[in-house]
Amino acid sequence: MSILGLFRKSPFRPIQEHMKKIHECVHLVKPLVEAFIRGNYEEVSKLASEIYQKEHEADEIKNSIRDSLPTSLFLPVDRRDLLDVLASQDAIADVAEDVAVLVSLRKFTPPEDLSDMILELCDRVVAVFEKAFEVVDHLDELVETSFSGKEAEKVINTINELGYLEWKTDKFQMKIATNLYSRDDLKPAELLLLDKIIQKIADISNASERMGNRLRLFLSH
Amino acid sequence: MSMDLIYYLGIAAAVYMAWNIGANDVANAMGTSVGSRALTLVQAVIFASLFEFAGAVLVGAHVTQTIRKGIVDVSLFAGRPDVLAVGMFSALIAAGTWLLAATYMGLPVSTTHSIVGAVAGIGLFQYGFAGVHWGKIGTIILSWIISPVMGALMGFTMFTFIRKRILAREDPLAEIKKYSPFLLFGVFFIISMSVIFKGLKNLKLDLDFRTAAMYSAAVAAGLSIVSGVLVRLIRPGQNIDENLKKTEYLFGFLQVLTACYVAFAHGSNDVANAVGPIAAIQAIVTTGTVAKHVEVPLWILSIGGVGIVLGLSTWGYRVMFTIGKRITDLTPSRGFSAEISAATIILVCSKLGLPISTTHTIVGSVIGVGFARGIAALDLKVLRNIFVSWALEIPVTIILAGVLHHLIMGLFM
Repeated sequence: MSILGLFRKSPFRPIQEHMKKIHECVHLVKPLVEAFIRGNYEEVSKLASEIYQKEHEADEIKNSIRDSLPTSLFLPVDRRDLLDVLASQDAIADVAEDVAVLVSLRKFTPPEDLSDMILELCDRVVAVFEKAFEVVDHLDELVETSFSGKEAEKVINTINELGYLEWKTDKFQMKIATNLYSRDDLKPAELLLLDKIIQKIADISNASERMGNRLRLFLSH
Repeated sequence: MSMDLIYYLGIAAAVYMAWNIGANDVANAMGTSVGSRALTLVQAVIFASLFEFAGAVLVGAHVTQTIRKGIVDVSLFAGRPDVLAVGMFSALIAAGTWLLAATYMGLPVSTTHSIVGAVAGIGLFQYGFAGVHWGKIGTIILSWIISPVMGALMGFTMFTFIRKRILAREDPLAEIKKYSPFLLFGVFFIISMSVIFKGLKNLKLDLDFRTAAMYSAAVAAGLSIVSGVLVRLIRPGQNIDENLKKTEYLFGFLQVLTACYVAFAHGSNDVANAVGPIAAIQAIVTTGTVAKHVEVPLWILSIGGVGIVLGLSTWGYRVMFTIGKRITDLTPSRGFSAEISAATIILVCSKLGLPISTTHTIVGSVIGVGFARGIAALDLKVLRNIFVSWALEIPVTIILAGVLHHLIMGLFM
């Protein structure tokens, strides 16, 4: 086997594979919420099961990555940081799945102005997630330049933009919450459910930010 | 048992040993080039065959110590040439078998140390503790530490330099155009230095170190200017990713050049491990006496070269094939850093007379590149197994060869 036996399969490409699955998951969230608002419950259950399926596939990739990272592995980044990045990617898929569960619980039509805001929230969290996706998409180039130089600067900038967009999304979430709690036209169960849905959608952007910050540790050597 | 029979069996044993050298070692020279896709598997086998054979026959030691590295005092055998002949045969079989087991278990070990251990085993079992120069064994043990550490330091420095000065810059292609004449000079200097310094000895053109260095510098300067101009003709790409690709492509050339040199140097150094003992037997058969140094006829060197080529093309390539596929992120810049570091350390240490092993040095330089954050994933468990196999090498070959020698002497002589 010779000296080549020292080399192990790179864990960075599978991490990118994993993130691609999460990407598919996240992009189903807005169509799902739209179907819920329009009252198309057949579509809701179809899209929800698609999200469950993707989340499950992502889990399988995650497990195989974990299995291939024994402590004897010497990586260009801290092994724990790498596992944290993986875990925070996984968290993104988990909250997408939570949204899918919540919109399947009760059939009702939310008020129109609130619906518009929820859909805007969806767009905003997807934009935040896209930044996180961009960071992971550059992982192979980062490995190639050993996490330094121009490529690293580019990625740090993207992580900074991600943080900024997440902050704006937080503020927008406040606005929705103010609207939600100041109205009297909702039944208590509907109010509770909508609050949870909004929180879970917003969590996609929180989880994306957490992922970006974990990845930032790769570059801080 | 007649001396003629020992002689013919010895030749077979030498081919067996050479076959194992080729199988165990080819991936050390060419493996990272296959891993980084700078060479296809078929190209690697062809290049390795050509350069290993050329190294063995053109620059391989035409005169060798009767006993490798003087590990056992030859005068002990003065009255018993037959004991020495059987001993050499046993040593070849024992060392070859150790290599066979190591290759099977995927462990890169030193072929030189295997034969040294085996010969020490003959001395120990035949003449007891006083029969072996333990001081020489001590320097060999020292080399387990020296060669990987030097390789690692050099690999770390080399890759850190390449990463900071070339890969991490805004325009890596422009940077490598700037640095390539120097890198090329280094590579060509090392190659011509070792060819001139070692090779011309065989042509009786013995040059002192300073003259050899001057000639090598002149040759290297000429070649690096020519290739430096060619490198400048490469057009820049549209963006940084494209330029990074072109940069790695250029490193691919440097890597292949260095790999060919390592194969050449390996052939020239390690062929003696297979043909030295058989040359000793041949000298005993033809003269009936035991001398300190023996001539190695060209045909025996060729047998060694053919054996090595057979080994790398029947088994060595399979090793590269299975594992080469698994390495997806090894780029030529990493491979080049590891190879050039090993090549430099091997040259410097052999000039200083330190007994270092090609295998140990390359393992060290790969680890060095890894520590400079150059490699996506290294398995330290494998590294531990490699270290254990290095520590076991001498004791195991001593026992194997000693017992085998004792058996043959007892049963047939």
